[in-house]
Amino acid sequence: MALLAMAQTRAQDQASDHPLLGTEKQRAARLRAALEGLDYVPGEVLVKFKDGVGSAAASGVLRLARHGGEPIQEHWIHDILHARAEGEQDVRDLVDQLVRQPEVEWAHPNYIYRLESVPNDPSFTRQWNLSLLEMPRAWDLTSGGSSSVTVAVIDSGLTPSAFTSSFRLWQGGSSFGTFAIPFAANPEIARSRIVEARDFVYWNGPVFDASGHGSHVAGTVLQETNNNLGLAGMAYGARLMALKACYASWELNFELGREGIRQRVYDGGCDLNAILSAIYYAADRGVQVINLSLGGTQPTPAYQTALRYARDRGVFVAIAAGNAFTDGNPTSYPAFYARDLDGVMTVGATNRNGARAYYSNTGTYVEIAAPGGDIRQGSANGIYQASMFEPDLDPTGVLIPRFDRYTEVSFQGTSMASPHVAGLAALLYAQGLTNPAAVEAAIKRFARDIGSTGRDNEFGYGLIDPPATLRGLGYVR
Amino acid sequence: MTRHAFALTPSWTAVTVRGVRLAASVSALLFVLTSTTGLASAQSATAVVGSATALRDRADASAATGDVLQVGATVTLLRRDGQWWLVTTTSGRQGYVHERFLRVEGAAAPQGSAPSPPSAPSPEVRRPAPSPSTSSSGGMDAQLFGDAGILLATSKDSATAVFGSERFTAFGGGASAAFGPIFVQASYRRSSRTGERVVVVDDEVFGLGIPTTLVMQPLNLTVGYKFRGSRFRPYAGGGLTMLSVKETSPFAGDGDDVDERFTGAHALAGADVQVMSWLAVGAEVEYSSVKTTLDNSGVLGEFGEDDLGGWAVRARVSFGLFGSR
Repeated sequence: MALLAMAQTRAQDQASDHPLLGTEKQRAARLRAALEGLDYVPGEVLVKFKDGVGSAAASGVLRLARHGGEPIQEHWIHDILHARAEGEQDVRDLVDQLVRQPEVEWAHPNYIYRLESVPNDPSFTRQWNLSLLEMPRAWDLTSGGSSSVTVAVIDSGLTPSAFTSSFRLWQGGSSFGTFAIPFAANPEIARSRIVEARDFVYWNGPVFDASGHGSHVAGTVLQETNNNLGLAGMAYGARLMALKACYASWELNFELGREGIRQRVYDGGCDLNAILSAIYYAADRGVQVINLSLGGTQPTPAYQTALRYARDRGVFVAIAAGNAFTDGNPTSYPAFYARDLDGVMTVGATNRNGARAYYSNTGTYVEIAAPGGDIRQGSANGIYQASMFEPDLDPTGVLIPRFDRYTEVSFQGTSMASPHVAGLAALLYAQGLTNPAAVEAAIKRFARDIGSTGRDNEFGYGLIDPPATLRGLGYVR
Repeated sequence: MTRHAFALTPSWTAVTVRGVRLAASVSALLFVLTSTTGLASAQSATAVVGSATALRDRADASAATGDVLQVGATVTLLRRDGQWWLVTTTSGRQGYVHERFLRVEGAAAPQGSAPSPPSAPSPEVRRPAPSPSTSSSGGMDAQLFGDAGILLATSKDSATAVFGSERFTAFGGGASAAFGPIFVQASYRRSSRTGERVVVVDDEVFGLGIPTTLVMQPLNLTVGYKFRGSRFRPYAGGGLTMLSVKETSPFAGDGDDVDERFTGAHALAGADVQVMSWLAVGAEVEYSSVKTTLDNSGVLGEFGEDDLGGWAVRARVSFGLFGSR
């Protein structure tokens, strides 16, 4: 790829010549993955060394695996080494070399995971999901939770304040243009409620949302009530740590325009290194809840380690079960790992009738169910939350996107189900629970057992029942 | 006796309905009892005038007469002098009355026969020593009582989870009547405790910060055996317990709060010590077992417990008639 040759020196690599788009090498690798349809970032590996192997020894192992090649960029994500070795080598060869080294516990490419939602046109609003869950009764008990509880939403980001940035975009044929693209803050999540927003896609760039997914998911967790849009989130008293680990298709299209490539892509992604970094970041900063509305088919022990790390620090994690039921129902990761971690829950999706949504993955790793919507029954049957006006940013239908108009948007997906559980967990923390295993046990204990009696592979323990869960048990009833 | 029963019935109803006003009700009942039987002067040996007569200033039928004594009037016996008694009337007059005009209170005095105090006061004693067993109201034995105590719940884990301990304080009272050595008793108690709603995970309890208030009101119907030979009266019995259970929390939806009744049984043993002719204090121990019929419900269900009873110890004060047989 010609564009890969553009970034040659470390100096260039460290310079971020667009405030939003990060370094050349990052952008180049992502673009190549998008254009070639790869499910990993070219040139990047994640390596876990065995206990007792120091960082110097680890670097030596890396050089050895590359047959003495140039030093490569290394970045530690907790105890996992994220290494970028762009250029001549197919990353799969590097992984093959690494796993043969005695010091290496495991190594694999830096996988790309996807957001687990399907957006839909805006339509008339009706938050049937919150009625189904009897949230008004739950709010009587909790008043929407507490500002002492923070939920980290690891997603496509959230725009905390308005700005405009210029991007070059392909306009079809041989035409390119540079446009001032406006971003606006999500009007439903006050700036004062956003703590420590952070970007892991471009590595500490500004946090923004160019897909609507992160805004929507965060909205389900904690969108304000009594607002102009008339929508609400589960834990509207909680605070949000907006962690950007995913990029929208537009972020890739901006880069394609910069590179003068006459092509458009329609999918974004979430690089594993960014997801892991965000999990550790959130856990180290004492959030109570993490939501992961993302997944993929690649297993990695890195998720198990990171999720256990978070759980052991008192963090409850909700994970989308995956939307691939009609695509062969492949096992989804990190969802799969929740089963063996008390305090980490995998969430399947229901439609408004309480039946399994057609896309929702099934399997032994599904632990609980929440509304995810079913737009096949009409867009009114998706999950409504404030997000960006979908026609403004649909890459299949608009030449120049804008990210500054918010409205009620209907999405469906296990991505939408998971934040209901994250929000419920935030309410439980606000009531004084501090143990993620207890939060998981409570959510399971009070779930409405739908589907087959007892735990089943469609709904896990059933549909969450927030009023019953928050109310708990009295002596007699 | 009929009057007593009528007096008791409506007041007992009041007691069961408004348990907290028990003490006041007992006092009121006591007043009814004493004013209708003359028990107020029971501390001294008394007699009732059987036939109209008059006080005389000497123990002699020819002595001068004083105030006229009407049938049914009560006099206090001060001293015996042959067939005559030196008495004091309720208005404070002293004088002599022939024994045939008096009916001495107590089982020892046959109805309508010549009065004969169970034990004659000695001339030296101006006021006969009170002796409850000797001045008791014959064979009749009926009391009201109030009590206070502690219940140690059988469902210890559940009670501790919600309320912090298995101890409940209970206040109540009742009515007891004996027929020979057999007594029947109805009693009511109330205990109220506020705790916190919880989640139980692997027997570990996590509070949710939502208060819950439990009110338990057992109504006991007891049959038992009572020794009445002396001032020390041990008893033992058992019977039915009908338990009203109410549990309420804020923001309860339909069916969230509890208002149920369960039936179980109890056994008890205790002893009263009569300290005055109309008053006894005592203590008792009771074991009750009342199973909830709400299957696997509440914290009780989480801990596999279903018994709302337990061991109770309580102190009680009884008022009324203390028969000696």
